[in-house]
Amino acid sequence: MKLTQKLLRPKRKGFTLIELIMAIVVVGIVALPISITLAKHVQSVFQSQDITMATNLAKFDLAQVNNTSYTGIASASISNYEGYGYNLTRTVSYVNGSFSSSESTKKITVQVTKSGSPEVLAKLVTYVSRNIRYPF
Amino acid sequence: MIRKKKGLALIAAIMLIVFVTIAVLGISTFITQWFSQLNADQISAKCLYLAQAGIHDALYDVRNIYISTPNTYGYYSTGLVTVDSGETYRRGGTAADFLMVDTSEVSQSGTDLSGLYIQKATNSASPVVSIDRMVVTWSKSGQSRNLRSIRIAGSNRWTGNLSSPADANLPTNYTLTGTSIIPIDRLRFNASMNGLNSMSIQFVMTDGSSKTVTVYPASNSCQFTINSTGKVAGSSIYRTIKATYDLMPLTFNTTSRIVDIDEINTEITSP
Repeated sequence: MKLTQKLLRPKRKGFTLIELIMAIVVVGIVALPISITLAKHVQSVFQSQDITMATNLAKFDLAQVNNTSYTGIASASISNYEGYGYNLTRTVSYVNGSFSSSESTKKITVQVTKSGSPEVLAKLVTYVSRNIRYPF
Repeated sequence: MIRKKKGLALIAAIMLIVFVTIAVLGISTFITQWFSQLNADQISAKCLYLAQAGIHDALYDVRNIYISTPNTYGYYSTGLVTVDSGETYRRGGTAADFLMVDTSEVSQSGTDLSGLYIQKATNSASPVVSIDRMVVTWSKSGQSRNLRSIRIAGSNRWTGNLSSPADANLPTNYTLTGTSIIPIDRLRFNASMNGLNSMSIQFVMTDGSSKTVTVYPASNSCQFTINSTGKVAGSSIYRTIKATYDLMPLTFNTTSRIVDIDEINTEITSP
């Protein structure tokens, strides 16, 4: 009896070729968009690090501007800003009064790009007026 | 008795796909939230510097008008201003914020205290700067005195007979219109105020805000407060700076300054 059952049991070691092909096709169809999504996310992680650094550098520059004498606030284009591999462009223009006015306001725009790329990663804008004194 | 076991590889593949998809979705959600937080941090930094722009622009206006136009301490406009594409600041605040009180020329003579001046710090219609009550508190050596009248811009706005602290509720609210300096001609008492040590006035405005100013002895002071909220289009993130500026009229060119500056967690939404 035992021998008969053993002889009748189907031998199914491994998969059929059709099963494997179908599985590979299905996995392939699903894996493609997942791979693209993952690749984009990996790219965005690197980009976010750039944006964080660029924003910090822009804030650092504006903090320096706020501590600079009014007449010393000027346009500048600085490569490899503070040695971090980013380029910083500071644009200064008058929105009130002019160079010769006793009272005036400057608009300061700071833009940061990664060296070798034209894409602006961070941009901050503010105004600074002449003769404004702080309590500290 | 032969069992059919077709499609096992397919089931395994589908299970694999489900697990991988769940893992990828988890990673995607995490990275998306991280990116969103990063974006929020960047917008927040932008907003702070936009709020600063609003403060400095207002101070330019006040200072420039003060030195170039007679009979005014200067003023600035409220509302929304675009600094850069999609980047704005909005200025506003309570009525008390816009009330300038110049205490630099106050003097006491006989029964009267005089030489007090007030002005609205904005040329905009909003907010309405209107005085509801004036609570006058003083300390004096010798006999006590009572406040009898308050005269503003040539007319008695309140009469009565109150000891310190005198809560003078103006029968008709006094609304500051225009941008010219308005004299509080005198506060009159029932007898000589010789021996007056100090006096303060709490201006209670019709919007419920109030401002307390030490008016005697005279001090080189004329303060007002600017509130500026920075915002970026398409985002609900905001940053607000509140700065109190003292014109110090007697030494304007050399000592006028921001005397207090803080970030506050209130968005200026009007006008």
